[in-house]
Amino acid sequence: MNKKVHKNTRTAIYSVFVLFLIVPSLSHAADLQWNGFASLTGGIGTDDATLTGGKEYYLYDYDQDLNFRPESKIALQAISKLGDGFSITAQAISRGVDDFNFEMEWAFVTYDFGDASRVNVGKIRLPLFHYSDYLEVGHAYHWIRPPESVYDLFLSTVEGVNLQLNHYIGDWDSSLQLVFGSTEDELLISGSPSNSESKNVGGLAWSLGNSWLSFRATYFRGDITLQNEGVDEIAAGLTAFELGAFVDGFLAEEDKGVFYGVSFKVDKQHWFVSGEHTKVTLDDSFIGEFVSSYLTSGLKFGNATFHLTYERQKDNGNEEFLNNLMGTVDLEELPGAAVFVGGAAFVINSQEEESNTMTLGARYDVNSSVALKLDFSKRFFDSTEAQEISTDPHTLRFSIDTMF
Amino acid sequence: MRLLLLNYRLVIVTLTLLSATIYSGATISATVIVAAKESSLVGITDKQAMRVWLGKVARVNGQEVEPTERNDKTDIHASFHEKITHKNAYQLKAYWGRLIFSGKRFPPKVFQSDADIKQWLSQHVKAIAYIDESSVDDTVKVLMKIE
Repeated sequence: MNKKVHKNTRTAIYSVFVLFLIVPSLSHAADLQWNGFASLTGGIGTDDATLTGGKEYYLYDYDQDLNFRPESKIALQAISKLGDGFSITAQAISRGVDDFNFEMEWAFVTYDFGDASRVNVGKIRLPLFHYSDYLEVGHAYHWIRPPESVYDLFLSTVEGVNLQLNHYIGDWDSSLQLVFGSTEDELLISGSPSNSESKNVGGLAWSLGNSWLSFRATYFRGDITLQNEGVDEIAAGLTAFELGAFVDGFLAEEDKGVFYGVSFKVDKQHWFVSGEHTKVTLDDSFIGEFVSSYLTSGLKFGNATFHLTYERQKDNGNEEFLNNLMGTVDLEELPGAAVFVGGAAFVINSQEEESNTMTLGARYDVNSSVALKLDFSKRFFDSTEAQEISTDPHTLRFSIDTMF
Repeated sequence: MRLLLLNYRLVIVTLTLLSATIYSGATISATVIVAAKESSLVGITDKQAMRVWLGKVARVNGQEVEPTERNDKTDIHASFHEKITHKNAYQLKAYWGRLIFSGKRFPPKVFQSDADIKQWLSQHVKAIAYIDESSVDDTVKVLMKIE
């Protein structure tokens, strides 16, 4: 394991080195522009929580030893103007969690219609959240990372089309993004590796703002498939015991997923306050609804910013389905089905999570390209049917965020 | 000895005069927004300039424009942005970072001197720039004087 990591890190460093070697020559050759950003983030889990079965839970995956892996990253972006309104943008990112291997974050061709509109075609970011467009750019926000309760979703980029329409009404700028696409990805369901397939993902993000106040609203829908071996086995078991009628309502197979989001931001010279609220639903599946929000505020003293954030997350599995199943099945008549009904109950109950998180942080801008950050976060779990959580985990993190 | 004293006086007087010239030069000279001589633009307003230099629009009165930028450590950069975009170098860097890394806009090309800018303008009819008023000559057209 260690050997592999070591080799990959070296490969990544080598790639960056080679990139920097060819950058100057390419820059001269074409109208090509290179930019980049990096976050060197370290943290220590100052206290963990113990889950049912004795499993330890560390906030943001930092254990008791100082670790730089969970959130450190470096990204390089190239933009090339191709003339006649066309341009191409590619962003590659190397993350500590992926053994620092470079991965193409997005790559798209843009056609610019002028001031009012432009269209991007390719691998694009889905503008679900307020900070989606620059989600990875640590330098662009005050926290080490935007609140996880809201920003942790299995869908982040799609392969598709993004149409941007911009308008100006007095001092207000209006920006409407219409996106359509599809994608596949990997994720964890009840802690086990799974795949996601998102088809016909479409929706819009609209923002309206002036120099200090902005509002944003988002709506997206898609046909979502979440494939997991354990979930499939439970479905097969239910079918075998003539409970096949329940399978459709349990599996997430091309089911309608909906995302709603609203946010606001007040940004004055010496203070700011902003908040975001999101809701995710997936019809006829083991997932019920995920509702989360945060409120953050900060004071600015010259190059220093001090901030406080409150996050709330309330996730539910499809309890209606579970009640239906439990109400219908007579386990005394079908004792063999118990293991599968129990499995379905476990998958649904393990979707449930209720927590509040507080983060106290500071940011200091050394110059216009380098910022130092320190965040202390503590999560307060409410115990649920599936999880008995003993203590409140907390983590201390620091970061050097740069933009170049 | 006497000659030496006289020389000293002369040096002091010269220095005083020289610094007075530099000082008055710094306060009197203004920043102007200019376009290429061949540009069909005749003027620009504060608000239009703000939108152009924040990358919000690429047209002024229907004419396509390409703004140029100065190094963000220069005085002319600081005073121009204080008056036109109302942002300091830090805020601008963060602002452009958000636009660049979301693939929404290209940042303006950065130049090191007024001479470099005038050279660029002579070859790019869409380009607009801000330079020191004292650098204005018949190769550029003044669109606005920043008071």
